[in-house]
Amino acid sequence: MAGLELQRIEKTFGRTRVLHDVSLEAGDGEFIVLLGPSGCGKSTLLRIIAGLEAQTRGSVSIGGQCVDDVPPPDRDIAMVFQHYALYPHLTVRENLAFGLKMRGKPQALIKARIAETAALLEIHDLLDRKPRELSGGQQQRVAMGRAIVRKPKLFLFDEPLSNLDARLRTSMRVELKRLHQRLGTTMVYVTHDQTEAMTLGHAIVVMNHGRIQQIGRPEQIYHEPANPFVAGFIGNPPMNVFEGSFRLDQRGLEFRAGELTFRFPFQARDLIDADTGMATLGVRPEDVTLEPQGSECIAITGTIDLVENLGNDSIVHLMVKGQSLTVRTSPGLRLPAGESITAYVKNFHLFINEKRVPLPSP
Amino acid sequence: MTKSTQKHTTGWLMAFPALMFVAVFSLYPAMDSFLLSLYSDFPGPERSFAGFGHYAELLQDPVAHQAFIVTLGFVLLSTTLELLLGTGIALVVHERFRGLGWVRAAVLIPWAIPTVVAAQMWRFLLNDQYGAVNAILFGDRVEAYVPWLADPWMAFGAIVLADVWKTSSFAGLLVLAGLQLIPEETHDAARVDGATAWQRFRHITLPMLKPALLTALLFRTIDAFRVFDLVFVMTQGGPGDATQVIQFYGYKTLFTEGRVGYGTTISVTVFVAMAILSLFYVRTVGSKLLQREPA
Amino acid sequence: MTNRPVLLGGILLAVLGSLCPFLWFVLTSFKSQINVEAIPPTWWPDGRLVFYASALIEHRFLHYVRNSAIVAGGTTVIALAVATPAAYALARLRLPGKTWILGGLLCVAMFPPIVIAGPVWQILERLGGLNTHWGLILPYVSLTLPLAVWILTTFFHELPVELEEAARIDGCTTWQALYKIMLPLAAPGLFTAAILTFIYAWNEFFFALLILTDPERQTLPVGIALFQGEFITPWGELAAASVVATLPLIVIVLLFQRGIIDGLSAGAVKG
Repeated sequence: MAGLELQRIEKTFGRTRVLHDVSLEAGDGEFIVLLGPSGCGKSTLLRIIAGLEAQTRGSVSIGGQCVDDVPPPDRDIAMVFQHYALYPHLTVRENLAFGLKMRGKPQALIKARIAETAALLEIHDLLDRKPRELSGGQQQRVAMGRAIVRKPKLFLFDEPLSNLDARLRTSMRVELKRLHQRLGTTMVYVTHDQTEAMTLGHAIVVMNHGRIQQIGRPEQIYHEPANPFVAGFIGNPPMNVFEGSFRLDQRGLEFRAGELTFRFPFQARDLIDADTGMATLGVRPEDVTLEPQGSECIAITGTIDLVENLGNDSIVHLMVKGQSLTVRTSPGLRLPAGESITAYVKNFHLFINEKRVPLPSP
Repeated sequence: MTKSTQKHTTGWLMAFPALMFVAVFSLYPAMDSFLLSLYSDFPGPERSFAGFGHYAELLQDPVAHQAFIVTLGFVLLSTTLELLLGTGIALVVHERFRGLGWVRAAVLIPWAIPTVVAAQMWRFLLNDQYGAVNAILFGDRVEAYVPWLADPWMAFGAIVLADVWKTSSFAGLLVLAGLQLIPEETHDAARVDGATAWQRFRHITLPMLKPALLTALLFRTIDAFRVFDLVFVMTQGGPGDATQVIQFYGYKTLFTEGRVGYGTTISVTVFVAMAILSLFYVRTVGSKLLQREPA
Repeated sequence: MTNRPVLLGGILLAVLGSLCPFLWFVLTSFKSQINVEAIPPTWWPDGRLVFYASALIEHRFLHYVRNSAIVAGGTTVIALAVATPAAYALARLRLPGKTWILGGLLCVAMFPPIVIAGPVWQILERLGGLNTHWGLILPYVSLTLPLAVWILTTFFHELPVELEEAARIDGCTTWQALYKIMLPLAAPGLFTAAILTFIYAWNEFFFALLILTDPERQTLPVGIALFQGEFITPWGELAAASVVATLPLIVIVLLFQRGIIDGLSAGAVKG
């Protein structure tokens, strides 16, 4: 049984269309992350799932049931908001109880659920405080508690960690993952932070301009990005991207960007319709090394422009024939600016017509 | 979709009582006044349609002309003084010092006092025999005491004075709200740039305060047009017609003389004059005010 | 203006200018008749309460106080009960043409009273509302609604939308979201609107003069404006009555100065 199913969702606000033909499916108990830059439509999609916003076309099913005509409270979902949306005039206990009370649940059950939730999140000491007396992290916990206490079929998270400082964000991330393991409920999580997406999601849905760019497991998204957008959006520092032209001949494929040329022994005409055209070539900074390698790597020579030391890593910016190339490397190498150096590229990503073309390892 | 229609219904249901009140006790009466102004004066069987006859009469009525001039003079003089004093008050209570709350409260007291009380108070202060103003100006020289409210110009001045005293603090509050919108950093930047206090006021504060000042001007002008209480209590429009403002003239015509047609003609004319002035202001200031469409 | 002496001068001027005229009236109310009629006037009162006794007992001023309390209290309660849902709808719900409604309310607030006075009087005559308190409360509610709606709309507008969405997911209807979540949070705004409405109704003179001709029913402003002795104006009693009429307002201002300032500017510059 699917935990959540979206079929051809479309949404227009006035004349602008913010979601185009969005379909996806999440298995029961899965953790789905909607990832994308701001304005990509991921929050709108979440609000449509919640029922806070009505889709223009398409349909939403939760737990196998179509909920298109079901108002938010009856969808059996819970939502954690970006700014927590705790009721400021109610204590933590009353905040937790509110949703159950509105549904007319008996006192005893409410009490038991609150105790259970408080124990799970370790917030029993906070129960009689008002939200403004809590720290950001505590408010975040209570906001999650308010969702958990209802035992819904589906959890929705709208960038819940974006208002925390970096350290707290990391620890809450771990806690969220643990929570999901314990509850085993389907969760949909919206974020623009790729680290959160990578660490939390069973599946990541990358979105841009209201369209799904790729759906896949985190390692899939990282290793086999479906198009240049996904390739550029995932990874830090971002992938090196070269825009250029390609030509297919007997010996394989030749890629040219300015004075930079790469040749791949590549015979796969069935993958590419044309013999020549525009192409995008991507190189992850971590797929380049400055230590001498064998012939399985492509060697290119450039000059060192700038070095950023990150402690465990160094980011080296090279200038290669008028193009810049970012390299992630281990620190400790002596790399004076202006000096000439050879870099070895282990892996390439090739995109033709905005689509991934799988390359054999060189 | 049915859901959104349902939401509209709830919205209208929530707004309905308020709109109802305004429609019955403000909009309908305003329109009815206009209709009444087109009929002859006294209700009853001999009432007849008069068209714009009353408006023609108004154009010929020297008392009405005088009333319009007095009103306009009052509006211009009092709003100007109120904006000046109000800005001063705003600058003072914008500063941070100990006892600020008390000073703000003190400044608000004239605004809170019923206009009728303020009017009686100024009538007493300006009294020719027992008034404090004469005592302060002339002390024991009783023979020099001035009967302020008996002199046409002085009486007009007295009305202006009472209005300025009572409402400068309100103008000040509107200006204060504008002052609070100016970021502190702007002043710091100007100070670093070497501007003196006066230069900062003249070149930073004043230009940034313009929207607030215009808003205060709009509110005060509209209110000054409606002046009635002060005139009713302090002078009854006298001496002669020196302080007879248009609202008071309209009141007398409508309710003392019972001339419904002509009285409503005067009131509709006041309304139109004010609407034109307001529209002019709203065009320049208010468009910003109306654009706050909630997201 | 960081110059201390200038600031101090400004403070003194503002405070003395605001308070002195009224203080003179307050002092007068504690004088005796001889004291009031002294030429040149004497400054300090001889500390009598004769004028208060005379104003409150002989001239039955407590009556006016009671009438004013009924009218101002009634106006405040009804105006808020009507303005709150309207403001919520205007701030939060997708109401077609709400910009026009808000703009229209602002225009209505600017009507000169004389324009609506005649027809309002006729309506009340037909309803039998002349010389009754409810007959005065009805137009007062209509006149105070625009300001109350503006203040409350501003307040509702500033409350986070997320809270309401959370309430909706928690199972609230629109009305429940209003009174269970939004209303408690907008309490400061409600309070400010209430105070301003009360002050307006307590002070209003023009309509009170028209609608209430029976001295038994008249409110304080009418009582004070029409206060006459047989031969000369009884200044002492007038001063005492004025102090009585103003005292509640002074208390309100001292207690809620902050809210009043915020509320008055809510409809104006901050918008």
